[in-house]
Amino acid sequence: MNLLQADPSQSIEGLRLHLQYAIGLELTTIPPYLCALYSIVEGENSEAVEAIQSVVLEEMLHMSLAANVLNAIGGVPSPDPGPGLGGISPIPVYPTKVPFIERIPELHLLPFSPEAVDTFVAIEQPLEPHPPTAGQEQYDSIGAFYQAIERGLQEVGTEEVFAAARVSRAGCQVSPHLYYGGGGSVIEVDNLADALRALDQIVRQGEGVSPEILTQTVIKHVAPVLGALGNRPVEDGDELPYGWRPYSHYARFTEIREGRHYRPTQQVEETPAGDVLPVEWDAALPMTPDPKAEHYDGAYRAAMTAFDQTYSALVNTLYHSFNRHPEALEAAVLAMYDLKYQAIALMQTPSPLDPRLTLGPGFQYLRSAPPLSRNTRAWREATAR
Amino acid sequence: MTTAAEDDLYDVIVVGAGIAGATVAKVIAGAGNRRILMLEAGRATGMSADKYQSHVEAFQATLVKVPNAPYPNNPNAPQADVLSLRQLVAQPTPHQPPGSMIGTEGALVQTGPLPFASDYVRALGGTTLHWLGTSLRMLPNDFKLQTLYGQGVDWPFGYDALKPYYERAEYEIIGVAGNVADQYYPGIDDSYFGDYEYPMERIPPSYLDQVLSQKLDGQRITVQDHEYTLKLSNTPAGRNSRPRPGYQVVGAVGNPLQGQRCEGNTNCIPICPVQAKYNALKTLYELMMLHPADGEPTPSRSSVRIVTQAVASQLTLDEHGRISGVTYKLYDDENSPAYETRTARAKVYVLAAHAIENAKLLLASGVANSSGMVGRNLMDHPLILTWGLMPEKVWGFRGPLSTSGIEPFRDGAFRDRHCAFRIEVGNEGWSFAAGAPYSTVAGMVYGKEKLFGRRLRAKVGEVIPRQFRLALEMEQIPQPSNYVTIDPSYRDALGNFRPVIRYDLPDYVRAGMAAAREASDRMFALLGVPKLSPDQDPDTFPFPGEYTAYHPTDVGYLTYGGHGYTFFGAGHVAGTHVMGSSPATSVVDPRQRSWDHDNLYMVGCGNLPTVGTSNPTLTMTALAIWAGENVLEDLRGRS
Repeated sequence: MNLLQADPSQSIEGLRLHLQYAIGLELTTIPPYLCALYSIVEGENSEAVEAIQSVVLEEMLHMSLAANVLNAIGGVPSPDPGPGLGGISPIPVYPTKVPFIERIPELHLLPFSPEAVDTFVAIEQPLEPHPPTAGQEQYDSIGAFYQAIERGLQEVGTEEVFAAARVSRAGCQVSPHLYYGGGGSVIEVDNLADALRALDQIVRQGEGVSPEILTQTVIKHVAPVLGALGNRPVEDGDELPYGWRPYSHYARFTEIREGRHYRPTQQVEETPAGDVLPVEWDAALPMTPDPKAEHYDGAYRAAMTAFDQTYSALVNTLYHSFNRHPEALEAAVLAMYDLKYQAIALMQTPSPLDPRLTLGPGFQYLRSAPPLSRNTRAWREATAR
Repeated sequence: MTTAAEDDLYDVIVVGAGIAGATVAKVIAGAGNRRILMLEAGRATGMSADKYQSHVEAFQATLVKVPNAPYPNNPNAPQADVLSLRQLVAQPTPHQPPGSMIGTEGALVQTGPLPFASDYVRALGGTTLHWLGTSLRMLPNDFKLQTLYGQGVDWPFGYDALKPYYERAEYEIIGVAGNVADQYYPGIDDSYFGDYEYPMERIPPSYLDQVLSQKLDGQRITVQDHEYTLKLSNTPAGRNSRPRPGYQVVGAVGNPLQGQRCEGNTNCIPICPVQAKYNALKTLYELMMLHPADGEPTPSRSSVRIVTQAVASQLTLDEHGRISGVTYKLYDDENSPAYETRTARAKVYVLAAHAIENAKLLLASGVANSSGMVGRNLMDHPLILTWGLMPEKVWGFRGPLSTSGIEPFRDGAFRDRHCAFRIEVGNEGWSFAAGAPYSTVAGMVYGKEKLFGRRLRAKVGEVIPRQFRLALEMEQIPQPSNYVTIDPSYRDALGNFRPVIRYDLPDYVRAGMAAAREASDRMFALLGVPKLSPDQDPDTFPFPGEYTAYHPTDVGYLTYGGHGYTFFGAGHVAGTHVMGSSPATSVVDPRQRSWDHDNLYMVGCGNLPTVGTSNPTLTMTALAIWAGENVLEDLRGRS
């Protein structure tokens, strides 16, 4: 797959395709985080739980923002393979390597563990974006990918494009009323300025955050109380109440990985050398890495397939909400609980293949999954036991 | 938390860091340039996300999930607890003549004849840690009870004066979810809300609400010759939901991404595990962030110092009869009676320590009591429960503990004969009424049927989803003969006074219970829930049927008109330093200031002259905002 062939600054089709994959990219990072999150024994590792939760919420926000931008330029958010690119779905099968961004590591579904957090650190690491050069087949970083989209918007996102989409894609925007609370808020996209703001929010808040923060001291970088005092430390753009500025994900995951807090005067790129941050690596359910329903039989397989159905229905519900049914987002929020309970149930079930491990959520996407409802057969079968 | 040096002079000292104290502090601090000290008797446990979680774990681990279950008692700041209640029977003690009734088991010393059956929390955040979140305003006629119905007293002002403060309490302090269009109260017109909407959309009605609406809405019932039209009213709640434009939802303290929406855990009382429900820690956290203790005040910023484990024990007076200082006992370890005595001084003092604790402190100090009313007019919303099994499954235990009420009994001509009452629709089966679901399952296993296995599972599946209950909550009228006082014989670990309480319910309230029970009977009939017949054995859980039972051995058992009722406290402790228009009959003036000392304010439910039928937190918060403004006015006048 070579997404770079569809240059977003040359054609509106190329720009739309990029945004399709932007939605998929944001979705792709969520399951690895959820596996770590759900595996943590309740009440343990609260710093890790908070950090992972906040990332997941932001990725969901970014997904909605990307969908709003795509709708605003007349695209149709869809989980179906993009034309002309070898039919590759934006929704991955794990383990996965994002095929159009070089520096995202291979993503595995793992329980909370040093290996999992290493991946999170790598995903969240701020990188200098390099614009692609001729012949390059992948963007080097997430930042470069979004830079290309931003340039594309400026080049081909004319007012005519937005005007036409106001008619063809009327009623598709997700509003802040429907998505709130994820450390930022949804921007309804009506024109180029909105689209750039939405993109800016994805980039500033997310993985593409500037590498400058690495050389700043933690006190400048974090300092919630200083923020309240009126100093404006470098922040990731989140607006939370009372001037509270969240720690960047990179810094939080680095602390968890090292089991120590930063000292306030340390630079973020250094190894944390402050107080001990107790991390209980053992307080996690030992789920099988990258589990797949097809590796199991009988009731095990049924339960894992039921999870895949739930996940897939959730994804389909999200795409449904991006296509003139924004109110369906509410159902998706509720579905997150179903997802969690089913995932934890799997993680508590000993694996028949290896007694030291448990089952786990495979996050295998099934395009045909019926819309999520507690009345579906899959749900009933999964919960009847 | 750090401690204040003895001679620090503050602009304001607030005693008590619950919702009333936090509200006053927020209003005053918001004006900038003020130095505020808050003294909290209890611990700061809930303030960090981790430690809040320890409360959640304590709740999960306990078998008896009473309101104070997550909040361990602290001998240095002992708190009332319903588990220590018992029927008050003759029990001579060295301090009481033989034959008198006294209960000394808990934090409260009770002299009866009825037990005072409410509790409260002594910790940072106060009783909002376990409140339900119900945020109803009082009704216009509640302010004129004496004039209209010849009962209780009138307030010194009416609803209209308080209305803008209600709106501010709903937006600036609590964050209330509700739809104006869903409020059905008697005795209001369009001006009651005016052109107003709550900051967040309503919490969706539970499935039980929907079933009850179908069966009850529009039905007319007659209770003691008065006719009422029934209509379920979605209850405004301090519980996060979808924000209306311009309102920012406030999540958990220290973890703002959590608690952005109610998750329906169905244990609002005793603890919301995600802090989607408002608690005063949120306002205190905001104060710590915006007005840090160590910052120098500026025109846009104040300094708020919060000192915990500091029990105020005495207010001192200067030669002009003004308050000159507050003495407090600072302790390190709640299990050791060791403490250090300190005094802090300010221009203005605000007591926000809870109705009972405020009264105790005033009585211990011998101040503010020229009326003799300090501690008197102790009130609550005594409530009785009715419960049963519906013909159809109504699926309780999902969503908040309550999302609706039936409100037509809150006002009407009947109020000259019996008290008004409010009906809260519970959403937790028989949890409150009978300790369900655990007790239900235990009853099936150990009861007559001795069920197990598939049959047990099937029965649980039939019975528990049909459980429902109503809480019938009485307006208690003020009576000086219901009081909290102090007695040198009864002291806590730090040598501070324990509250000594005398409590009874007059016929006016008991008659209200009889009327409420009658209303409940009519509604049960409409719901298709008949009384169990003598040949139906309640131990086998036949349905549909009413299971309400009041036993003479119940702690809160009382009788009226030949019938027995078991009442519970609602935790709505009010009226111990009532506001009024005359210094002869009230403790604070309409500005919430002591009649006797012009630099002493009181806030909290103790100020309420009457309590109406609305859960009092919202009204108390509105009054506290007003009090804060008045403190500011006094400070400006003084400088």
